[in-house]
Formats: sequence, structure tokens, C-alpha cells
Amino acid sequence: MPEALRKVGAFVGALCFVLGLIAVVAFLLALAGGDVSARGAIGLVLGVAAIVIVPRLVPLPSLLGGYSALVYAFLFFPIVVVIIYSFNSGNNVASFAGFSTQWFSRALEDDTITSAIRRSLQIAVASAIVATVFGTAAALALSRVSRRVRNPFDVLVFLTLVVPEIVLAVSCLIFFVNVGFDLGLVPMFLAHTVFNASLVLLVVRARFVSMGSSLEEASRDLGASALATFRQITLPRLAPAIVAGAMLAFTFSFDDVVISNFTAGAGNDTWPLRILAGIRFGLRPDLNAAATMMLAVTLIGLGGAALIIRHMARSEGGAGVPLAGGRG
Amino acid sequence: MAVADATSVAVPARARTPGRVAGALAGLVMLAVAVVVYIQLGNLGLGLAPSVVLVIAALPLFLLGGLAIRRATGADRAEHVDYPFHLALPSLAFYCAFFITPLVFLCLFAVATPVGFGGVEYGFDLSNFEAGLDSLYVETFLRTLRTAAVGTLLIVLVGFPLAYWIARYAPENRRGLFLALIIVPFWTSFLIRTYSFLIVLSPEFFLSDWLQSLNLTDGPLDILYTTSAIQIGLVYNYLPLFVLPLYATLERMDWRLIDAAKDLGASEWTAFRQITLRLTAPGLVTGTLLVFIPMMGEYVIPLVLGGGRVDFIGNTIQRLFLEAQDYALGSALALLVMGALSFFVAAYLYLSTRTEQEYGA
Repeated sequence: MPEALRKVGAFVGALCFVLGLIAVVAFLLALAGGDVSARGAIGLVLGVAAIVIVPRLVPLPSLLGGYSALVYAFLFFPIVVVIIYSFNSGNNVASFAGFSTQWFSRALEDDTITSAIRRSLQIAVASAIVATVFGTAAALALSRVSRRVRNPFDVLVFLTLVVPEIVLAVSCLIFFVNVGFDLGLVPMFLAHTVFNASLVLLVVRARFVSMGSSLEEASRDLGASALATFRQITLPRLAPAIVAGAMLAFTFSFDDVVISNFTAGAGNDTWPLRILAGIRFGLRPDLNAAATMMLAVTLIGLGGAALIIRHMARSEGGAGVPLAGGRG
Repeated sequence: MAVADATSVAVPARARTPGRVAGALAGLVMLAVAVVVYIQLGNLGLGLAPSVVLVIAALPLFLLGGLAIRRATGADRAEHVDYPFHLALPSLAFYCAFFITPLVFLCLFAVATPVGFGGVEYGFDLSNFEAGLDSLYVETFLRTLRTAAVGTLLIVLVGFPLAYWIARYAPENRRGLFLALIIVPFWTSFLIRTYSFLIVLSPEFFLSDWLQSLNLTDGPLDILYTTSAIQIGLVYNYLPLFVLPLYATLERMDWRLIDAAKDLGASEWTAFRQITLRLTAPGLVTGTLLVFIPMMGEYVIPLVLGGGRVDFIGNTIQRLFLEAQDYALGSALALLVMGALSFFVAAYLYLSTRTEQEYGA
């Protein structure tokens, strides 16, 4: 199989090239630090050789392809490690002793983990629903109004997205404490929803603007009421964007650490906060199991949303909305 | 703060006819009035509640004033409106209540005087900002800046070839798959992606053994809880956020331009530098900003991979709030960070657009 062989060759070539680059940079850094070793010098020679030779042996497109495979490996390796090591039978997190599912059952028996899962799901679902309603309504209202109304609102939405999360989190902490809210699930939900509403608004508006208004105008000309037009024309065409926005909101809220950490108060840990607390007290294999379950929830949710969007986009004939944008 | 931004953004749009110039001047005057009012709030010696009510009441007033000026100067004409504006009011109220008001509280606390443990006395006191400029905090801020800048640079080096390959060389029918393979890690939990490096970089993990047996490291891998570990975590977590917008730009490239340049005698490298790089500059700017800004505010990655031994400025703010309970100093520090960040972003955008204009791209 020459084709497969060529691909392997490109991959190995890219690997050598990258390693050579790293060796050269490492040598230069060591040189700047005044700490040159024989090993570094050998690395430099081999590295320069790889950088010079590899591009002559492998054509650029294949080299880039091999390099991309390398980056994909880098992207997936840590995630795969967490999943595999959650089936580790041993007590040590970082060395694999054998296959076992005991940590999953232990994690599910642990009351602090299950109650944290419940809290996370409550907040994420509530926040996604409210943010989707608010964001979609605002996107509809704002997409075709005059600039003087839209610009200030856009600035506001933009601010909610670019203000560093830690600043949002501390300002919410001060606010809730001083207004007399008890820290806990409600403040967490409210703070998440601010960010989520902006996410939904952006996703839905992008779709709504690109849709054009001709179908709606036709519907109104033919005598349909505004509500009927919205239900029968706008909503079905917007559905993929709304689903994508809701999924984004759910995942953000389900995954959030920073805002939750400041607004949760005592004894209200969400799932990520529970994992974070566990990390502080040292790694334990049941954390891996909890993490794997959390991955499964997000991936199943995302996969489902992607399928729904694909199905809708196909039946409607329009372009799908990529599940991209926002912060992970 | 929102008022200031809204007004300053709105000003250039109407500076054409004399009427618009008048409107712009009026907007600047209102901005100055707003600034004076906000600065004087603390000196008036009011309690917390009246000050906050005043600030919140001032926001819509200034917006309405701006609208009135615009209408009077005829800068607008009505457009076709499909959906009534009041659909946006729930979100507007929500933003006012749970975004703007908290930020107002943050500003109030930043100029308040700390009293006892966790308490403050409202007033106008700039000593928090002085304390926030202490060399300890400046050092942490500079460390954050350095790590984030190096991280952004590394992400460009790692991500650009990947996006380039997908856009130019990947088989067309599989492009969606390759993009999905970038989106999936991006969508898996941020915390777990960070936490995974606690295993991967652990001295007990097989990677450490391999490196040792290949004689690449002297002893077991010892980079957990150092700046290097944080650096790796930053690059890993933010890579997809850079690649996706860059790909969106590269996808629109017309590769025949490159072929034409090469026919005309340009080398591959010259063609890349003079055509590809310039045409993709907007995507490059967006991508770098998208990763740099959240990196500067990063809090989870240093906490997990720095293990409390290497702090970013976000961790310092967290300590001030949740451990030292010094809300006033914490607020001042948060505002300083935001100010510095805005400065860097503005400078970067200015420089990058100027370079772009020089090249005529």
C-alpha cells in the first residue's frame, strides 16, 4: 500500500521536523540561560539536520498533512487518557494497573458527587431555557431595527462577552452579597444567564440576518398575522440556530468554574466545582470517573444537537449553523 | 462605563453635516457631564443605595438624551421594523440588573475605604488603586502578560499550519470532518481538558518514563506546578479558538492568486508572505485577540496546573476576594486589569489596522 506508506512517511517526517525545531529552540533557550550541555549540542545538530533534510524529502502538502495529524493527536491525547484512566483498577491516578469500573460505582455512590451533578443540571437547564428565550427575542427585535437603537445594545452585548470572566464573577459576588441575595443556586443561575443570553443572541441573529425577510413579507402580504408568520415561517427556519444557541448556553453553564466559584457560597458545589475541590485535595481515580461522565454528558448533548441541526438544515434546505463560537 | 462606550462609539457615525457635528459636540459634552457626575458621586457623601439609584437612573437618561439629539439633527430615518422593539426589553432589563449594576458596584467598591474584615465604607478613596499598583501585583500582572503573550505566539505557530492545511490541502469532502475534530475537543469540558494534564505531565505517567529512558530528561518529568505546565495548558485549551476563525478566513482565499504569483516568478515563501499572509490578516487579528483576552483573565488553568504555586492576576484577585476578604482592593485590581487589557487591545488593533493600511490590503 504505497498510499498508506506515504502517509506514514509524511507523519514521521513532520514528527522529526517538529522535534528538530523543539531541539533547536531548547538549545537556544539553554544558551541564553548560560546552561549548555552535551545533550543539547547533539540535539542541536540532529535538529538542524531534520529541519534541513525533511522538507527536501517530503513535499510540502504531505508534510503539512502529517503535521496536522500530529496536532490532532495533541488535541485528543489528554482527553483519551482521562477516559482510559477512569477504567483504571488501581489507586494511583497516573499509572494504569488494570481494567475496572469500580470508580464509576464509587463516584455514583458518593453523595457529594451526585448532588453536585443534580445542581449542575438544574442550573444549566434553567439558564439555557431562560437565555434562549431572552436572547432569541432580543435577536428578533434588534436584527432589523435602526442603528441608533442597535448600536448601544450591541456594545452592551459585546461587553458581556469580552469583560474577563473573573471581573464578571467578582462584580456579581459584591452585588449579590450587598443586595442581600443569599449566595447559592439562584445567583449562579442569574450570573450564568447574562453571558448565555448574549451567546444565544449572537448565534440566532447571525442566522436571522442571513435569512433575509422576503418569506416573512410574503406571508404578511398574504394576510397571515404577525404571530402566525412567526410560528409558521420564522421559527422553523430559525430552529437550528436556536438549538445551537441553547446547546452553547447549556454547555457553558454546565462547564463553568469561575462565575460559579464566586457565586456558589458554601455547600452548593456544582459538578465542576466538586471536581476542582477534589483536585485541590489530591487526585483520586473517582475524579477521573466523574470527569469521564461529565465528558459523556456534554458529548451526547452536543452530538444530539448536531444531529438535530443537520436534520433541520437538510429538511429546510438552508445552510446549517456551525457549533462554533463563544468560549469553551 | 457603558454610557461612555456607547456615546464614544456613536460619535464618529454622525460627524458629516454641520448638524451632525453639533450632535457630536453635544454628545461629548454629555459624556463629560456623565464622567463628572460619576466622579463626584463618592464626594457627595451619600449612602450606597442613593448613589446606585442615581447611577442607574442616569444610564437611560443619557441614552435618551443621545437619541433626542440624533433625532433633532436628523441623523436617522425610520427603517422598516419587523419585530417590535419591546421584545428586547426583557434582556435589556436583565443586563441592567445583573450585568451593569454589578459592574457599578465593582466601581463603587474600588473607590471605597476598606473597614475591618470584608466591610467597606463608601466614599471616594483612590488609595486602593495605589495599593493595586504595588510591585507585588505589577509583577504578577507582568507574569500573566508574558505567559499569555508567549502562549498566543505558540498558538499561532501551532495553529496556522493546521488551518492552512485544512483550507488548502485537505480533501474537500472530508473538510467538515477535520473541522469537527477541532470543535469536539473545544466543546469538551474546559476543566477536564485542563485537569487531564495533571495526569499527562505527572512523573508517574508513562510519558515521563519514556522521556527518561530516551535520556531526554535527567530525572522524572518535573514540570507540573510550574509556568511551563500553565503554558502548555493555555496552548492546548485555546488552540481551537484560534484555528476556527482563522480557517474561516483561509477558506475564502482564492488559491489561484498563489499560482499566478508563482507563474510570475515568485517563490513559494514570497507568495505566502505577500499574498496569503496579507489576505488572512483580519482572521489572524481576530484569532489572536480571541485567545489573548481570555488568557489574560485566566484563573482555572493556573489554579489547576500551577497548583497555587504560580499565580496569574486572576488568582490574586480571587485570593483578595475569597481569602483576604479585601473587597475594595480586589475591585480596584480588577478595574486596573480591565483598563490595562483595554489599552493593550486598543494598541494592538491600532497597530494591526495601520500595518494593513500601509500594505493596502
